[in-house]
This record gives sequence, C-alpha cells and structure tokens, in this order.
Amino acid sequence: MTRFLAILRKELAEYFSTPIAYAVLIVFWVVSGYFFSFNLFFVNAMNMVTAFHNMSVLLILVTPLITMRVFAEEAKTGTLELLLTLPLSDTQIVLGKFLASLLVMVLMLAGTATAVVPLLLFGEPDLGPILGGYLGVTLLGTAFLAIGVLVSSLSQNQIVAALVTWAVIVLLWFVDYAASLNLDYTLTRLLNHLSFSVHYVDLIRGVLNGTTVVYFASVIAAALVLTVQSLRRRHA
Amino acid sequence: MHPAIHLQGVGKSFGSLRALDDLSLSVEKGEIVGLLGPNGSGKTTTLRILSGYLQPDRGEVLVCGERPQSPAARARVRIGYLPEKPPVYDALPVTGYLDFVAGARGLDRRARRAEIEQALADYDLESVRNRRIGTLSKGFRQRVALAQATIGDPEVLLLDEATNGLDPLQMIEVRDLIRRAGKGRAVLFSSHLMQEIVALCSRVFILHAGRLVAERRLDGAGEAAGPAMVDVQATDIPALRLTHLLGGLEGVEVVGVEIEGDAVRCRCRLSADTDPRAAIAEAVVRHGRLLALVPVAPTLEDIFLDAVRPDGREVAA
Repeated sequence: MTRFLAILRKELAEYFSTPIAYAVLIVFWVVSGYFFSFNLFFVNAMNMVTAFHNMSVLLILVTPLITMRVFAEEAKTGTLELLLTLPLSDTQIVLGKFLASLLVMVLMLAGTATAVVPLLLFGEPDLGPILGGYLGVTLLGTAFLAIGVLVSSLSQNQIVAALVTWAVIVLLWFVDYAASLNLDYTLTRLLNHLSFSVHYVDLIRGVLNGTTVVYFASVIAAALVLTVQSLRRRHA
Repeated sequence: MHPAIHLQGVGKSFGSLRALDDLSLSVEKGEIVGLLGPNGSGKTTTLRILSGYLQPDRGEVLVCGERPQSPAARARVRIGYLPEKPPVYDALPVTGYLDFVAGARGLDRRARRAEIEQALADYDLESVRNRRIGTLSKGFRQRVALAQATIGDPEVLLLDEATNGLDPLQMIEVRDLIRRAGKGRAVLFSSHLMQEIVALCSRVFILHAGRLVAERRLDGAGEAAGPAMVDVQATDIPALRLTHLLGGLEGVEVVGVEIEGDAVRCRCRLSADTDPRAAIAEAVVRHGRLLALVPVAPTLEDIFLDAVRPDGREVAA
C-alpha cells in the first residue's frame, strides 16, 4: 500500500505543480457553468439532464488533456526507466496513475455541483436523478480516462497521445452509426452495444442499469489490463 | 554465498542486432567495478538487464541471489539504479522526489523522513531541498539522481555513465560521492571514459560488440596488472634492425617503436611463461649500445586498445 500511495502522491503533486491541471479545471467549470446558466435562464430548463449532456461532451474534450502526460511524458524524459526498475509492480504503477487522474476529474465534476444551488433555491428538484446523473457522468469520464491512460502508455509524445485518445473516444461514441448501413443483425447489435452514445443516454438521466454499468466497467477494466500489458512489453 | 552481481552466459538481441553475447561476470560486495567499452558495446544493455528493466534472451542473472526480473521485485529493493539520463521529475521539489522514491521502496513515513534527511546531508543538497529539480544546475541534478539511487540503502548500485556531460569540477565531486556511496556496496559503474574508470574502480570489465573481451584488476595509479612489458632503449643501431632483432626473440612481441634523437625506444610485450630479458640485453649489446631496459606495466589504455582492436582480440579472465 505504501508503494501504491507513493505513486498516487507523486502523480497528484505533478498534476498540481504545472498549470495544465488548473487550466483544465477552470475551463471545465467556466464552460459547464455557462451552458448551465444558458439553459436555466434562457431555455428555462429546470433540470440537470442538459447539463449532464454538456458535461459529457466537455469530458470528451478535456479528459485526453488530463491523461496525455501520464506515461508519454515519463517515456520522453527517461523517468519511465526509473519507474519500471523501482520495486513497484506494473499494476501498482498503472492503478496509481489512473486513480490520480480520476481524482482530478472528480474534483472537476465536484466543482459543477454549485449549479445545484439555484435549483434548490428556485425549485424543488428530485435529488435522486441528479445524484445518479453525477455518478453516470463520472462513470463515463472514468472510461475516457482509462482509454487515455492506455493510449499514453503507447506513445512518447503527449500531443499524439491526446489526439489518438480523442479519436478513440469519438469513434466509440459514434460506432453505432455504422449499424445504419444494413449490416448483419449480430454485427448491428454488437456495434450498438459498443457505442458510448447508446449507453450514455441512461447515464445522464441518472439511470444506472446493470448492462450499462457492466459495459463501462468492462471498458475501464480492458483498458487498464491492456495498459499493464503495454508496460510489460517494454521489459521485453 | 552468492556474489552481489552475477551474470552467466547472458545474451540479448534487438531484432537482428546482437547487443550482448554470452556475457558472464560477477561483482562482490565492497567492490567498485568498471564496465568499459566504446559506444554500442553493450554497457547500457547490461545495466538495464541487471536493473530488471530488460529481460535477457538467455542466461542467468542474479542480484544478491535473486532474479531482478521476477514480478515479486524482491531483488529490486536491493538495487539502486542511475540510468544514463538522470531520471528526475522537473516539476517536483528535491524532497518531494526523494520522498516518492523512498515510498516506492516501501519505506514508512518515519523511515522516509530519516532517509531524506540523510540523503540531503550525504549529497550536500540541503541548500536546494525545496527547489524544483527543473531549476537546478546539471551537477545538482546529477547529485539528486545519485541520491535517489542510494535511498533505502540498496546493496547494489548500478551507475550508467554517471559522470557523463559534467564539467571537470562536477566530475570530481560526483566521483567523490560515488566513492562514498560505494562503501560496503557492490557498484557496477559503466563509462566510455578511461580516466573515470581508472579514478574510481578496482577492477574493470571491457566490453566490445556485446562480448566481454578483457577483465583486469586496476591499481590506484591507473595501471593495470597484466602481461609484463619492457621498454628497450638503445643507440648505435637502426630502428628497423632493432625491431627485427627483438621481434625474432622467443616470447617477445614489439608493440611500439619511437626514435628519440640518436636513441631508439621499443616497447615489447613479454609472454607470461618466459623471461626473455637477458636474451634481449644480450642481443642488443651484440649489435649496438643498450641504454636502458625498463619494465613497464601495461596501462588500461594499452589493455583497452589491445582488447578492442580487430586483430588483437583476446578474452582474458
């Protein structure tokens, strides 16, 4: 546990010793606050579904910026050689880095909770779906982060890592579009099942059904297992 | 009792490039041993395999009796490793970086604090303890990197080109730190600079094209024990004639000739099983005037050039 915490502390210290984490947090809070205010005061939408939708789109843009440096920077600066020769397991390294990025994202989402205050002041919102919606968006963002950590472990260039992460997330978001091409029934079902956009509708409504949770848990687990394998390849 | 570092028949290839070929060596605790070779000779690959960073394709690798590549990573607790490029995080302060390494080595909070204070004192880092590593000079960065390698008191230190790129003063400082860090530990120090090996090491392994081509003990003056050599100085005899004369004697090989005014100086390597000095003196006196016959121990440079020259490759234990 001491070793795992050492990685976690180091990662958090690195995030908050550079302007990137602060810039990402502020941009996310400002933009999501703007969208929420617009919906509340101009569209008169007194619910969080639209806000969660906007947050999901923002997460696609922002999470690759959180994860791009995770391994790519270590590979470029040569510190990965130290990391892989310290008495740490590859799993501890991957989980420590992943959890640190998750904490940054949770802080980012927690900052948007101030939006609930006007809802409580001017209306009587049902807090169940709001809480469920936050959990759902967190789950969606966690899957994005896991993909970002995997892609970062395959690159030595942070910009390339961010661009490829965006590409993978967007492809997985729209993969169900191919289902409209009158493909084989099984393939159509598979593409629909793989699509983020099909599953995320439930998430932003605060509905966490078993299939959706299993889907996102599988994406996260698969990405992290592949990241561990990618680190093992470096020992070859 | 296992040696602290033990490699037996180790081979490693990257695609079609054979980086290490049947490498065997061992280092005992208390020794600072050099790994000398030209660029691309396999020094870094050897250290990377010993540190657990790379898997060997074949052969046995043991550090303090354990495999550094094992997932349990027990052996890696006993290894301090300084790669060629100092593995420091520019964004972290010196104490934050050392705290991370100490934590990764499994030390609890109290032990971490004690280790950090010790490292700051040992490597004279007190004045920069809260400075970000990215703002430090190259010499200080190297000290920080060396300090991380000794955190947690590892029994084995692997140092890859640790003085590379430093100015002469920094080189002397880092050498001194390595000497102190090496006390009671087994240290394998790679370099392509002979003077660094001579200044630090009691023994040297010479690598060339992934193979061990020589191993020698070194004394403090930078000379190496090995096959005897003599300098023959003579006058009243042409250089070519002296060379032929000496080269024709049994157990004598002429390895260098210099003309100094009227005198000729020939450096000769003598075979280990004979002592042809009397025959040399007799032959020279018969054809000219012998000025001096001086025994010379071969320098590390002689051994290195001898070992890596394509026509003079030898494998010696």
